[in-house]
Amino acid sequence: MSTVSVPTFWEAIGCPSTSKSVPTSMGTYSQERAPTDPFFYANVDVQNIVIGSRWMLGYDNAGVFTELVSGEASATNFIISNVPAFGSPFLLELRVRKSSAQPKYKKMNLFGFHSGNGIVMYLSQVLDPVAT
Amino acid sequence: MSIAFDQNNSIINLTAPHTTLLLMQDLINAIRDEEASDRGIQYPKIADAEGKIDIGDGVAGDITITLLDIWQIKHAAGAYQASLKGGQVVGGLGGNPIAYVAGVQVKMIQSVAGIIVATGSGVTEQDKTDIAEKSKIALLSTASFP
Repeated sequence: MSTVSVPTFWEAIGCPSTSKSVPTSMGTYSQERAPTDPFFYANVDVQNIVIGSRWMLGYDNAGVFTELVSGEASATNFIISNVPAFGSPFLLELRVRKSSAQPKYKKMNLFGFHSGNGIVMYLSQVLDPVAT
Repeated sequence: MSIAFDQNNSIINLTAPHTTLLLMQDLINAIRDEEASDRGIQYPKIADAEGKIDIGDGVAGDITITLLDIWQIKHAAGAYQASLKGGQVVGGLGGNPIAYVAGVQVKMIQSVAGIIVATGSGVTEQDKTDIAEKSKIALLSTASFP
């Protein structure tokens, strides 16, 4: 099964994660995280997508759809790994469109709450009887 | 490109060869291609489409395209007559799917095989009162009383 990985914000801008170990007065270590760091990362398992579909995974950020990662399906099932959750609950939106070549399918927007154990998004795309 | 999409202004720009004749099939194909493109998938959908119902013997109904939100079709500037064929397009900004362009006259035939009236017969209570009143007057004026 193919896997697509979501680059973290810090990877995207060429920096390492802000998580770091810091010494304390007792000689122990704790973790320090930036407010922009996600709550957790987990996988999104996409199943039953039509090969050739264009997809985009994102979330609603104050009314604006924000892309996390996108691609074109080369397999029916694949895993998007390392998907961050910036809140709890965190609603993910998977947009799927297949109109570039026949057979064409109706567009589909699939939603799911992200989970620390990962989530499965199972698609059932419907043929578009109008577009040719 | 003859059918170009301005996502920021919600305008479908038509240029040759689609200026004088635009087929609904070409329009919906272009809309679906745009929606599935790298750019288009980031935006909400542009239109809904229905139709092409197979009624047998190779005959199918036409296409009805509903432009969503404030989307409109805009012809290239000039002085000419343009036609939309193969169905109909509705919706758009304020219910006007065609943007005004000076000098361009657009012909569009909108048709349906049947209609559904949303509420009742259309006769109001006031209409009923008026009908009853007129009937009474007519009756009194024609009837003779001993």
